[in-house]
Amino acid sequence: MSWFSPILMVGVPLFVAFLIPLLGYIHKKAGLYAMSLTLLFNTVAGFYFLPKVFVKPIRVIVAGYKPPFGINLAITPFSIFMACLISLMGFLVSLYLLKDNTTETQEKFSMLILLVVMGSTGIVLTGDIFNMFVFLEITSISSYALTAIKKDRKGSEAGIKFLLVGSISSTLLLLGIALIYNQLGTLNIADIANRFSQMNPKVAFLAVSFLFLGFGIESEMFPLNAWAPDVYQGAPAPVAALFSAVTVKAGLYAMVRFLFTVVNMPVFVKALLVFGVLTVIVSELSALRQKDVRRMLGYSSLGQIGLILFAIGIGTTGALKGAIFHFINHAILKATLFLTIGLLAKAAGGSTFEDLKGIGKKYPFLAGIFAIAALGVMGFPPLNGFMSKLMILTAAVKAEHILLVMLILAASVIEGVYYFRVLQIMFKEPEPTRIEKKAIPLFSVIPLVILVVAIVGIGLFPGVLTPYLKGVTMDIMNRSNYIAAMLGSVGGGL
Amino acid sequence: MNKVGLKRRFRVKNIFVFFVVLYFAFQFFSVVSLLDLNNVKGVAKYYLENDIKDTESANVVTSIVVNYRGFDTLGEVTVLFLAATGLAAILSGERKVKKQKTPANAMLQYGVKPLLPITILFGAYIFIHGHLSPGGGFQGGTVIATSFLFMMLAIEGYEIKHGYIKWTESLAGLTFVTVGLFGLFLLGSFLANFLPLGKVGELFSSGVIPIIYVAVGFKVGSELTGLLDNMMGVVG
Repeated sequence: MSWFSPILMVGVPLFVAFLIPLLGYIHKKAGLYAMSLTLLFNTVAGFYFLPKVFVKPIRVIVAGYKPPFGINLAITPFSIFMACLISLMGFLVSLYLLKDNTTETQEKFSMLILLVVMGSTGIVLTGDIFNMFVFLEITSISSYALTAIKKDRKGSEAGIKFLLVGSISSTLLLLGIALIYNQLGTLNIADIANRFSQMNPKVAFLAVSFLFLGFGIESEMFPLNAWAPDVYQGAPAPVAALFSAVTVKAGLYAMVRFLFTVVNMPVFVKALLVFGVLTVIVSELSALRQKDVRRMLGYSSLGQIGLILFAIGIGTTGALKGAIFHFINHAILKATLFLTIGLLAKAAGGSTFEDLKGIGKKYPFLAGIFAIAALGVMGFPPLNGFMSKLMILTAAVKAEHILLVMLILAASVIEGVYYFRVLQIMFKEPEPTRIEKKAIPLFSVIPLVILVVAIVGIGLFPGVLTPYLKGVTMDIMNRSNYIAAMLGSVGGGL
Repeated sequence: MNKVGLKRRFRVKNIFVFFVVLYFAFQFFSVVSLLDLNNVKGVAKYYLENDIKDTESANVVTSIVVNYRGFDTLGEVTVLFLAATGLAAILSGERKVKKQKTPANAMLQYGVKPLLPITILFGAYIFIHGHLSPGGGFQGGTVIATSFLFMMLAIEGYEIKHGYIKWTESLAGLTFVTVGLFGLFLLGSFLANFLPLGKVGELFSSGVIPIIYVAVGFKVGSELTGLLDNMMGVVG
């Protein structure tokens, strides 16, 4: 099956995205179903390639030109692992959207969702730095539109902010790429990695700084993340779930791939550590002050990203393993939280503490799921968040960063404070009389149930993921392997 | 926090940001002299030397854009598609002003009508000859969109049928991806050039390059027209 290539994970969503406007003539909801089916296809394809890539990385050549002359996809354990996560989360969110009845922009909405997921998949699969930039643009531009799609004040404001900051990010990335291209005459990631030492050190430092800042904005690193809480609050709930589960993860992938595989500059990994710590402190303290649950979740999401960033910054195998594990857990937990709060807020007519008073008594099922996910974020055993936090904690202890250990624990305590406050408001306050209870659509429940099963399941049996985490960590740490697989004759069959 | 405190905090932040930007600007200008801006090297050199052999296209820029890095171009076309879709999604349902304040004079109104087919023809020429002469799908598409902009500006109540735009942009995008998929099925590589290359300088040469560029031309033309139409007369 030589034609069944991983490039279909980009090609098929693109085909469907162009087809969706025409599908509207067949059936009003055909676009939504097409989007969901395509994401299912991506998930299946991802899991089909997953075991193969862990045996041997695949190099997919595009347009028949060998790298570095053409573009190629570089599919290593880290990329396929992320691609599976992205496709799966995209698919679950798309199920939730099937019954979402925002009629007039439905077609465009499904197209944008599909392209966000496709762009993020492209970022993790590509082996060409300019191609990565193009996919980042696709992801960002669809994100801006999705943020503002509801056309209310908050959404538009967040969309504009997102657009401005995102443009700065793209400019910086493009400048960095241009500097590298000027020096080395190549855009292939493996080729750049191979010959990075040939660059003039001053130019190299500036290029890496630009790319670091650019990817820093995409991966919501403090102080470049001021736009993020607005986006999480203003965007429609499933879109916010998608952002925290999919697009941020793609940004983080780009950051890690770049810092560990392409350049070998320990100073930037250390910078990641510092910025990660700052992100945790600022975000968790800001989350504490919020009166709106959606915004609070946004800050909490940033806090978790900070945790991941500094775990990457510690740079040891154990810490990286923990960081990758937290990638998955954070995606699952935050998607659950945003999706449930979306349903609850719709029922209650708002997402402030005032609105949500006693909602837990009206909707015990949804609020229960929210509670489980909240406990997971705080790191309660035996939920999945506990496992990855423990892993990062152990790595910090091993690396003798005592301050970091204290920071992780303190952050968990703060998380406990603000999440328990929400839970108390939801469950302890008297049941509101103004809200009429409506049945929850089945399609919204299915993904939530799957997510909760994942939260508990991964927490109870983290062993399922251990071999994969090991493979991914080895892929990140071993840059010469990556270069050999993509440039040399070692590369896989395609 | 009172208002004054907030203001002061912002001022300190601004100064900090200012210095960070200044630092990077300084760094950038100190690095410019170190850049190598005269030599063609790396992949660029390969493209210049092997362009004719690989693609039989007289325009090396076209072979890079459509063939060597065609995957990027597919992405860029998608970016444009997204910009148009996103804008349409955000602006849909906005109040539009149908009437112009002052109608264009008769000369303009009669002048643009014969200009329309000529401009479209010129745009089509540019994208059909993308592999032979300077220009290509993006440029040609823009020229076509300009012709519709003339009509919208000059003629009162001129409206583009949204159905046509939708069909054109979808079919053009589908053509691009389908050509890519044919390459994958026939030669095992997405976007591979599966048609005979012909001889450099002929209209029917360079394999799939003209097909892709015509699709890009239609897509860019319809998308820009759609964008203009969406923004025409929106009350802010």
